Amino acid sequence: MRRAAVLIFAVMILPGFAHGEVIAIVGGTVVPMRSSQGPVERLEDCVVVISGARIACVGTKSECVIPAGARRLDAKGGVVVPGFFDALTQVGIIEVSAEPSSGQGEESVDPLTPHVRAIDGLVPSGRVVDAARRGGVTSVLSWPVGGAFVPGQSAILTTQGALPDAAVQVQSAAMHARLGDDSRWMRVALGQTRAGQIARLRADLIDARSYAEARRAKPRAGETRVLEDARKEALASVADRRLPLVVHAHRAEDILSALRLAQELKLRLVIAAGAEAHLVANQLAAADVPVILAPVRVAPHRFETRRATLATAARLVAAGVKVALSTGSVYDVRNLRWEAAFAVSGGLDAGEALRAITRRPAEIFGLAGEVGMLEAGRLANVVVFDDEPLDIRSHVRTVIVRGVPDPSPEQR
Amino acid sequence: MTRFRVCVVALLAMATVTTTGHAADDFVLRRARVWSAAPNARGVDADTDVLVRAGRIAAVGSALKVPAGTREIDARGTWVTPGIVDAHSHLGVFAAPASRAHDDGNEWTNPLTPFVRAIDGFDHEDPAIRRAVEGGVTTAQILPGSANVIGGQAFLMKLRGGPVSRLRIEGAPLSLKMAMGENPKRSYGSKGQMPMTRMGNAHVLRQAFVKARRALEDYKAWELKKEGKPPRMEPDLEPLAALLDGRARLHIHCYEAHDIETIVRISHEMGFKVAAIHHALEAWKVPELLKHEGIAVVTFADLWGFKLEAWDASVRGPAILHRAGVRVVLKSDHPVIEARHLVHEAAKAWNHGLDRDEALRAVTLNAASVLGLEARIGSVEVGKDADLVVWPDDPFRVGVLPLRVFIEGEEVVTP
Repeated sequence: MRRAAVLIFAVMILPGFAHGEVIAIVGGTVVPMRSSQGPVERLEDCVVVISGARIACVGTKSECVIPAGARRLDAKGGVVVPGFFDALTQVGIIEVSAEPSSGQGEESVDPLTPHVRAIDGLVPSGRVVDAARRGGVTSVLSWPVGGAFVPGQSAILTTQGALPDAAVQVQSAAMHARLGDDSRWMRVALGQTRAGQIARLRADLIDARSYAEARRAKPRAGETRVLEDARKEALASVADRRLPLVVHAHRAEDILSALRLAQELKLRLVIAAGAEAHLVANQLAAADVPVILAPVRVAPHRFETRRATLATAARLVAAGVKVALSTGSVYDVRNLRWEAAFAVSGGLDAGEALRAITRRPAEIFGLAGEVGMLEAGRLANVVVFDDEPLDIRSHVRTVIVRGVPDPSPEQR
Repeated sequence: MTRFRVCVVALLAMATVTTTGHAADDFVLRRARVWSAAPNARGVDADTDVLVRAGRIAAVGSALKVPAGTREIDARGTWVTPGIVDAHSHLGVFAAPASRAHDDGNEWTNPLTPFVRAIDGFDHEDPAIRRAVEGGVTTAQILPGSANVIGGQAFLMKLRGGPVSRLRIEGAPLSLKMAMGENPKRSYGSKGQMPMTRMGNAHVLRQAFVKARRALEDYKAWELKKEGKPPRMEPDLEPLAALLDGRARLHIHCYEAHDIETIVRISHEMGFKVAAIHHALEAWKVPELLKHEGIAVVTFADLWGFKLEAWDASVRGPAILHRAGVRVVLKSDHPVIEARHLVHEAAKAWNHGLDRDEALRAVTLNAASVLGLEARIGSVEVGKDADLVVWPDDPFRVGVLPLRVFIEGEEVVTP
C-alpha cells in the first residue's frame, strides 16, 4: 500500500505531471481525515507533499520523498488538516446583503425558480471569499439568493478567490427548496402555508416527471415531440434522482413532511438548517437522509426553532445520521470551526465534529474523491493551524487552495 | 428644590424602583481560580476564596476565615469571574419567539421619540433572559432599536427571574439611545419622509437639541429669578435637556468613521457628551478622536458585512482601540447575537489580538463603566454586588457554560 503510494507519487512528479509549484508541508500533527468512522487518525513527524493543484503524498518522510526544489512550509508545533467545507452558504452570491446590487441580486418574480443556477451569478472573489478562506474554509456550497420557495440550484466552489470557471467544482450540486417561515411568498396562490408548499412541490415534481417521460418517448405518427422546457428539465433532474433535493427546514414537522415527499417520489433528499432535526433523528437515519446543520447555534428565537438545542448534532450522529456542520451564513463562514466547537460542547465527539466540516459534506455531495481529506490525488486544500483547530487559542497559519497558498492569511 | 429638579428627580425615581431581591444566604467559594476583571488585574488568582455577605462581595483572598454558619462551596477546579455585563441588548423588547406581537423595540412612527422607554415595551417572560443568565450574563442594558434617530430611553436590569420591578437596577442614570447612518434614513426615507439622508439625520437631531437647549436655558433663567410659573418642559425635550445638563448618558448607534465625526461635531455644537458609540465597526479608523473625546466603543468582535456601514470592519478593531487607550466594550445586540453567547465574543476578540484580561473586562468592568455602574458591578472586588459566575473551565473555551451564577448573592443558576 505504502509502496504503491510512493510509486504513484513518483509518477506524479515526472515532468509534465506537475502543473504548478511543489510544496512540502513538513512536521506538525497531520490529521488527514482518511477514516470515515472511529478514532481520527493523527500522524506525527509526517509530510504533505503538494504538486500543482493536488496532493501528491501524505505520510512519513520515507514514504513521501520531498522533491528537490520543493517549497518547504514548516508546520512544526501546528496541526495540518484538510480545508473545511461549509455546505450551506451564500458565499459568492451575496456581497453586501443590504445592497443587492453588490452581489447576485434577488429573484422575486416566481416562488419556484428551479432553473436558476447559482453559478450564473456567482462572483467567487472579494472580501467575503477571502474571509471564508482565512477562516480555513476552502470549499463552500452556495445556493441562489431570494425569498423563493424553490430558489434554484447551488454550486460547490473552492475559495481561492478566482473567476467562476476556476473556482467551481460542481456547477449544479443540488436543487434547493425552503420550507417554513423564510420562504413565505405572499403573491403566490399556492405555497403560502406549509401544507401549500409541499403540495406545490409535489405537483411540480410529478408534472416534471411526466414531462421527462413524454420527452423520452418517441412521438407516434401524427404527434409532435414535447417541446423542451428549462424549468421542467430542472425539476425533472430532481424527480429522476440526478440532483439531490436539499430541503431547508428547521421545524421537526417540516422535516417529516420532506421525508414523506421524498419517500413518495423517491427523491435523493438532504435536510439543511435542521434546528429540530434531533427530534426526528431515527426517521432520518431510517431513510438514510443526511443533515446539514446550519448553523449549530440556532437560538430558539422563532416559532420554528423553539426546540433547538446545541445537542442536535450529537443526537443525530448517535442515531446514525450523516451530519455536516455549517454556518448557514455569508460573513460568518470564517467562523465555521467555532460552530463545530459548539457542537462538541453539545456532546458531539471532537473527531466527528472535524469530520462534519471536512469529509462529511464531501460525502453528501459525492465529492469525497476530491476534497475533505488529505490523501494523494485529492485537491490540495490544506490548512495549517498553530493549535488544535477547534480550540479558541488556534489561528490559521497557512491556507492552501488548489495548491496555492494565501500570501496573507491574516483575517482582515 | 425647583420644580424642574423635582420633575427630573421624579423621572429618576421612576428609574429607581427598588429591586426586591431574595434574602441571599451568605456563602464562601473555596479555592477557585478567580479571574477578577479588576482594573489592571493580570491573569487568574489561583486557590482563592470569595466571601459573600448580604449580597455583596465581603472578602477575596486565600484561606478566608468566615463567620460560623456561612455556606461553604467547594470551587476547586473552577474559574470565577464577575457576572457578564451586556451593554447593548434588546432582551424583552424583541422577545422570543420573534413575531409581530413581540416587536416592541422600535416606535417606528417618528424619527424623534426620546420620550419612549424600553421598560414600557419590556416583556420579562422573554425566554431568552433565562438562556442569557445560563450563559453567565447577570446585567444588561435594554435599549430601544435603531429605526429612529432618537430611539428613546434605555434601562438597566439584573437577569434574575421575575417581573420588571424585581429586575430593574436602582439608581441608574437616565440613558438615551440614538442612531446615525443607514438605519434611520432607511426607516424613514423608504416612506418618503425625513430623514432620507445622513444630512437629514443630522438635521433632525440638531433641531431637537436646539429646542431642548432653548427650553433648558429658559428654565435656568427662570430658576435665577423664580418669578411667575416655571417654563413648561415638554416630555420630548426633557430627556435631551437632561443630556445637555450632564444628567443623562448618550449611547449612539453609529458605524462609520464619518458618522462618528458627525456626532462628535454635533455634540460640540450643542454641548453634550457622548458616553459610547455602539456597533462602531469603523471606530478602529479613528482611535485618536475617540480617545481625545473620551468616548467608549461598544462593538462586536467580528460581526461584519451585512450592510455597507458594516463592510469595513476589522477583527483587530478591539485590539487597536484598546492599545490607543479607548475603552472597549463587547456586547450582544441580542437577538443579533444571542446574549447567552456573549462571552464567546470576548474569546474571539482575544483570538484576534485583544489582551486577554482586557477581553474579559470588555464584557464586565468596561461594560459596567459605560453604564455608570462600575462602582457597583463588573469585577470581583470587595464591596461590589455579588454577581458571580462559576465556570467549570476557562470561560473562553468555546461553548463552556457556567456551573453556577449568582446575582447579588442569590444563586440563580445551580449545578
